[in-house]
Amino acid sequence: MRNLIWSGFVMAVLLSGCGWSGTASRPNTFTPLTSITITAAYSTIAQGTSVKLTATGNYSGLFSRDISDQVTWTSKATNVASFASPTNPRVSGVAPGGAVLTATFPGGVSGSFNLTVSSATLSFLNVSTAATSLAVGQSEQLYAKGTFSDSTVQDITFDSGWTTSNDTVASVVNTAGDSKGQVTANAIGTATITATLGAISGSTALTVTAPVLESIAVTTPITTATKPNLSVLSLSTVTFTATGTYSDGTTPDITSQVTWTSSNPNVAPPPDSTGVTQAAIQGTTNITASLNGITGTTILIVTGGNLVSFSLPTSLSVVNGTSAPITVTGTFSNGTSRDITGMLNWSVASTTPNRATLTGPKGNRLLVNAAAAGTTTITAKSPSQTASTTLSVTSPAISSISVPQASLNLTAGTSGRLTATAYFSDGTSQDVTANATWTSNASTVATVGAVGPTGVQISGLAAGSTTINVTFGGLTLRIPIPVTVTARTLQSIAVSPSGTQSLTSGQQTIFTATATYAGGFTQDVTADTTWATGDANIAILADSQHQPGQVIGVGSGTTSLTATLGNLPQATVTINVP
Amino acid sequence: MKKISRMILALCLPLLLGSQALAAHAGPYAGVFLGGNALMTATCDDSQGEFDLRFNPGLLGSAVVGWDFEPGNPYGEGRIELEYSHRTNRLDQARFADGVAPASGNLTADSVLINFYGVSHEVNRSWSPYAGAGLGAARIGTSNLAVTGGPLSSSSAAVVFAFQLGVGIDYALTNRLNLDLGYRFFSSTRPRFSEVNGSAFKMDYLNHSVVLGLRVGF
Repeated sequence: MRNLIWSGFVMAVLLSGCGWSGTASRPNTFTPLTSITITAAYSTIAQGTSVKLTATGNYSGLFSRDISDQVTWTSKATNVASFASPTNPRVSGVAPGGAVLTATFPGGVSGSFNLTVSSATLSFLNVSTAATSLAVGQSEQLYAKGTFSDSTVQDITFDSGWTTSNDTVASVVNTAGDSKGQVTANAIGTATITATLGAISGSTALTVTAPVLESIAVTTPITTATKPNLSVLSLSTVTFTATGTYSDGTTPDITSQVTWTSSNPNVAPPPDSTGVTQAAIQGTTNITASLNGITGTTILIVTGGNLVSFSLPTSLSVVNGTSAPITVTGTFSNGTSRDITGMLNWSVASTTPNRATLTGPKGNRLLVNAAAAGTTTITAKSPSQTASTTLSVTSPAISSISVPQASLNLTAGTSGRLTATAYFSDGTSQDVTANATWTSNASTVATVGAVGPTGVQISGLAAGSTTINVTFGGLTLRIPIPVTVTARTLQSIAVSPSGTQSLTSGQQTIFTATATYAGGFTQDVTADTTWATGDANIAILADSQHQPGQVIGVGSGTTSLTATLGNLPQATVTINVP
Repeated sequence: MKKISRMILALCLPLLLGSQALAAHAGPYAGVFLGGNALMTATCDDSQGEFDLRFNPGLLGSAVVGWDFEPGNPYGEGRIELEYSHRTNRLDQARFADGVAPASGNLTADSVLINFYGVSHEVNRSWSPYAGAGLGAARIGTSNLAVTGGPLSSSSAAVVFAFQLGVGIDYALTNRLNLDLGYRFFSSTRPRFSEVNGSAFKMDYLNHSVVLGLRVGF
């Protein structure tokens, strides 16, 4: 049995690869041309008119091909019918009579056509058009049909002279060529297009209307012509733009004019009039913009799993006049978790007076600003869930402030962080970094920057020393924080983890950047590095300002994560999202 | 059924015969093979685009010299050999954007490969299956390739890198004489040939073969 199976296998292999596959694109220039057939719209034309001939080559009976532009055209009776040039297939009737026209291919194969030139004269000329109204920017081919004294009708578009009564409104081609008689609408108005042959003319009125919408392109800031579809994480806010292309070539933004639809509203609802929508659950939907019967569509792919749960602290206590951050982490159905602070809709219950206001979220940073003593409710909403926390605003007297960091040693070009804690008469304490006033005694050595999740940024500019002073609640820290900045020569930057990293869609991963200076000194420069991903459809930065070096996988593919510091070559990590 | 196919089927008939195996050979050997080969339809391309060439099955002949490794080797048994092969196929049809056209001419491939085969011996079995691969070079040449009589490539040759995969069955006729029935898949990097007008075209070369041979040990 095994032997017979082996024989069968052999036969199957030998018979494999016998079929054609794919598409051949090369023309066959090897099979000999064996005959030429000449055709034309008319075998009889009136003197003073013309007709275009077509030469079709037959290649050994296997296939045919138009070779009109490859043959030499000749007339045996040039006093009856003649070609403008040996390469021009249009023949003109010179005088009544018969003429044998020949098309000859290099190598000698030829074909012939008998043309008769009549003595009929033009009686009537009619200009025909498919549409009497064009929008600005549109074009249309007009045709001149001549009725002759022998009752024949012949297309004399090429033979007529074409004029327009108002070139500003509509222009017409009057030069020899296949586009002769083509009219283009230039401006709103009316124009009369006239065709004339000898003493006979005919005309048509053309109305030019406002430009019409011909197509709509739906785009986002990261989609391109080669990558028109968008991949985003669930809960992401997406802004679509609808750009219309009109017949006059203009391309205005028509985002607010179109009707937006979503083929799968559960994945993402239709964008609002500003083109904004929030991706709700994992899946795919077609986002379409429609206007005046014209549509444009792009595909939105939502990844990262569906939100399973998120929560806020049961309660939150903030001292009046201070700010406290809120961070929310969401758990998703694909087993990932990520910071979703910036993806939720936040609100503070209205009270009299208002107990608190919210700053942000900007990126993933949200601050609760305590404004008046009392309680209120802070609510966060996703498309599918809601969570709340009770905010208590207290007003204890401030006792003291302190900065946990005794000093900062910085390398010029890098930064460090300081935080301030206030202690109150009721025994509570609170981080007041965002509300304190920070100053540097020597701003040429180090400057005070923005406040982030890890404290206020102190940037080292040049070698030297300075002192940072912090003031809050009328108190100024008596013990200044010394900052020493050392100038070092930056030699390299490395990212960890390095090489090729696999990220799950929706999983937030932390990368760090370490700079190496001359002498072997190394320093974490994650917060000072400029981070970037190569393709936002594959991986994105979680929050470039407040969460430097943190990357989230989005859609399947491979891209790069680069870290740039100073003028050094970038450090690169390959990110692969399965 | 084509002549080549009948011949290949006949080559398979010895598989139906069987007798008690003899002890496997170790040491040098030489052999000759004869068989049929089927060249897969080749996709070609030149400056004007892509076209396909279809070939008829043809003959294959080869000669080998090699070394049988010692049977009972705890790390496995097999052989290493130097192989010269000659394959020839006639061009049958060509396909262009305009359609399929009859064609003519010959394509030959002369190859030199170093093959490594692993062999599975069992004491009480007559047959020993083997599998392996080979690397080397091939000279692939065209001879009077034409499409409906119009010359495509007169005489052109290219030397290319070649590789081969092989499976088969050894049957030990005597201690030193083996009958070998095998399948070979042979391929190369794309050879480049000249058209009659001076321009060049590249083509695929993918070949299936069935061979029957005799190997004599020394």
